[in-house]
Amino acid sequence: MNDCDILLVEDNPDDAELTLLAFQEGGICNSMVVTRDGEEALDYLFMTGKRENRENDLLPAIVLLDLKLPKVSGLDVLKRIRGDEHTSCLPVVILTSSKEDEDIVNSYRLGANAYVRKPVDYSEFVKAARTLGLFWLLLNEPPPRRRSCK
Amino acid sequence: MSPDIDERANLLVRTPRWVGYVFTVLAEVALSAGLLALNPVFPLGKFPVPYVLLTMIVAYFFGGGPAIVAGVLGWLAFTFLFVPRHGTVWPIAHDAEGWARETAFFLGVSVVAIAAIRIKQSHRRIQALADETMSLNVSLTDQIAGRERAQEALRESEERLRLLIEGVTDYAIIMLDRDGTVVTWNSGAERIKGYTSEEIIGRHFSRFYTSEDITAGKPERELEIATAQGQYNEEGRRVRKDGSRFWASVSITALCDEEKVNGFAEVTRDITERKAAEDALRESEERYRTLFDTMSEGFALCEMIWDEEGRPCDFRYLDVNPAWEEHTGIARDNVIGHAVKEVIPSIESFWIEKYAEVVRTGKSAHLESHVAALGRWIEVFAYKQSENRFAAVFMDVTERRRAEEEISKLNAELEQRVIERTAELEDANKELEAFSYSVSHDLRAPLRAIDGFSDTLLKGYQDSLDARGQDYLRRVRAAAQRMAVLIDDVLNLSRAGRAEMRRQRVDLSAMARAVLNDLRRSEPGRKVDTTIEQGLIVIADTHLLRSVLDNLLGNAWKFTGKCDDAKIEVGSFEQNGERVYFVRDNGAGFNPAYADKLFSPFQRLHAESDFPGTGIGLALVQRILRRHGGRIWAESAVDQGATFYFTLGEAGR
Repeated sequence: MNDCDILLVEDNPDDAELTLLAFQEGGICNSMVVTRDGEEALDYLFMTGKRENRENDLLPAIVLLDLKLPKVSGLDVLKRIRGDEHTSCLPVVILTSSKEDEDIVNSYRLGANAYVRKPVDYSEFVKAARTLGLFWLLLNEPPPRRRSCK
Repeated sequence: MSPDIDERANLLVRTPRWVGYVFTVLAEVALSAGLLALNPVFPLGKFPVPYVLLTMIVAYFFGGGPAIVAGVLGWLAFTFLFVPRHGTVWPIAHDAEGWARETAFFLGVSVVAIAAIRIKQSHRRIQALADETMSLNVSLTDQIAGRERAQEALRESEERLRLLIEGVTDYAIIMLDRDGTVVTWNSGAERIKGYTSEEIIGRHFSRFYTSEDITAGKPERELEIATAQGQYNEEGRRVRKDGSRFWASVSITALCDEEKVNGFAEVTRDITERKAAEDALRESEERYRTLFDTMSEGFALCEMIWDEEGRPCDFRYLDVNPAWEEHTGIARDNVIGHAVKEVIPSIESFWIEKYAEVVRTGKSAHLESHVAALGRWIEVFAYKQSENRFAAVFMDVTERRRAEEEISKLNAELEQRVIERTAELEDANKELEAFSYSVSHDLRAPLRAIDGFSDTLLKGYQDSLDARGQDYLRRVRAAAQRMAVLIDDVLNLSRAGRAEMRRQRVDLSAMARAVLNDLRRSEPGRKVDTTIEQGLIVIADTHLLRSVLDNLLGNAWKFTGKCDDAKIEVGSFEQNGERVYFVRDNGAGFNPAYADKLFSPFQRLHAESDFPGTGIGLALVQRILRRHGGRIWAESAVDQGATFYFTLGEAGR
């Protein structure tokens, strides 16, 4: 897999699987990389740790970020992304179960581009995945794609 | 004739006797000279009439002596000067005619003189009588004038006294006759007793007495006493014209005329106010005495004792009350008149100094202290009572002190417990936060997996499942989705209780309109007639109020789902000074018997199949309204629609 359009940061394998299925079902066939926690996501983005030598050194077109993650939380990941020059413009969509006002506000304050609550109803989720994909990968004009490191 | 008048008569002849004789001699000489001079013209003839007349005059004016001299001189002068000489010097008659003439002369002179003297004496008497009459007259006139003046003075004085009595308004001054009938009446009497003089004069004075006194014969008895002793005095009840009673000071004085009582003077003063003041004073004294005797606080009146250098060294007890005896266990008789150092030898000197300060400065003192001698805690109020005297009121506060200590110990414990409990609560709260976060986040994930994979199975593995299998999978999905809604509602409920409230002006009418518009959009096919009262402005938390309207209007919308002419109304009215808002619908309604269950979480009055729901909505609404200080209640009957009333506490006004 040389290309990565979507980076999904999701610790729950069920959710990861369903998200993949939903995107497929929604007709979004772009490549997707799944990282299981915040640390792995950061390693992937900044090509550090286990992901130091990944083949494709391009940044993803979009990051789908869960908030509740082991090791490094979603908000910390977002903070790091926005804090680094290379990734500061990277589109980040928060994809989470939480509907807490605090989470929503904090996410936007830290620079999230969108906040989507995963519906329990799978049909709704498929619709959401389709809309997300269509918007962020086709409709939206992304910033120029950059490489992960200097 | 009184000797007095004789005396006066003598006074009239006070002229000295010699004047008569001189006058007689001179008058004889002058007469003789005159007669001699006139003799040629008017000869005297043979009758010495002028001399007789002169003798008479002298006799009249000067009495017998001079008259004899006048008679002799007259005879001599006449004989020598006018009787022709017959050769002899001796003027003695020389013939019978001469004797006769001379005898006649002397007889005539004598008669005339005596007559003159008699006349004179009569004159004198008359004069004396006249004088006496005159003087009597004068004195009588004087006497009469004096008596008139005295009477005038008496009249004036009486008038003054009458005016004075009339004018006295503080005293009723009344004259009574012997029987007690009113004779005079002054303005004081009118003021005090209320009768005018026209009304009362001529009436018996017993009408001033109370009926009991009249029955007891008091008025008559008082007059008897006054008669016997001259005066009767008393303070008693009397009756005014209007029947009201008053306290009177009465004095009845018997008026005597020649030791016989012929009337009475009654002087009455209204002493009701004084009596009232006396009564008040007595009552007050009794009250204070009772207080003194029954108060639970010990009371001691003391006198300060100073040493020669003016330093306080002791004090003496003048009076103590029963409570004092009880508290100290010292009998009153062993205290009064004794110095404190005798009574309580171990008394701390600071008490003496403290009381001395009260006496010196006049400032009262309040202190609480432990008395080692009594082994008790006492609270004392001390104040200066008079020069060098002070009063000390004290309470045994040992029990209170003990209780206070107990309380402060308990308080400290309680405070510690509160701190611990608060910490526990804070922990619990944190746990709850974490829990609700985890509920919102983690509990949903499995549901999503259940729903998602069921759906995938239904779609991707349709061929491997028969109809029943597919139905079960659909049921799995429905249950998962319902569970998701339940989780959301429970979270909302817990959030409604925890979230910070920010009150502001909210247009309730506009908000209701927005909610109904949303509902209309969600079910465009339904036709619902809505009425919203305009201009309902409330002070509330926008977010929470929106939840209230979402739920109430959502319910109204839901329960009118089966009506053909659905109606929803939002309005308000004033009740007991409070604004009450309501949401009314004409939908399914509910059985009022279950009205109290409406607002409990998870309580539902309708079958899920008829009207879906979690049973959380109204519990949430009630929680929100309570947080605003308001209430919610409902009225309904099955199929008659329902009305939900709510208030927003003061914030809604």
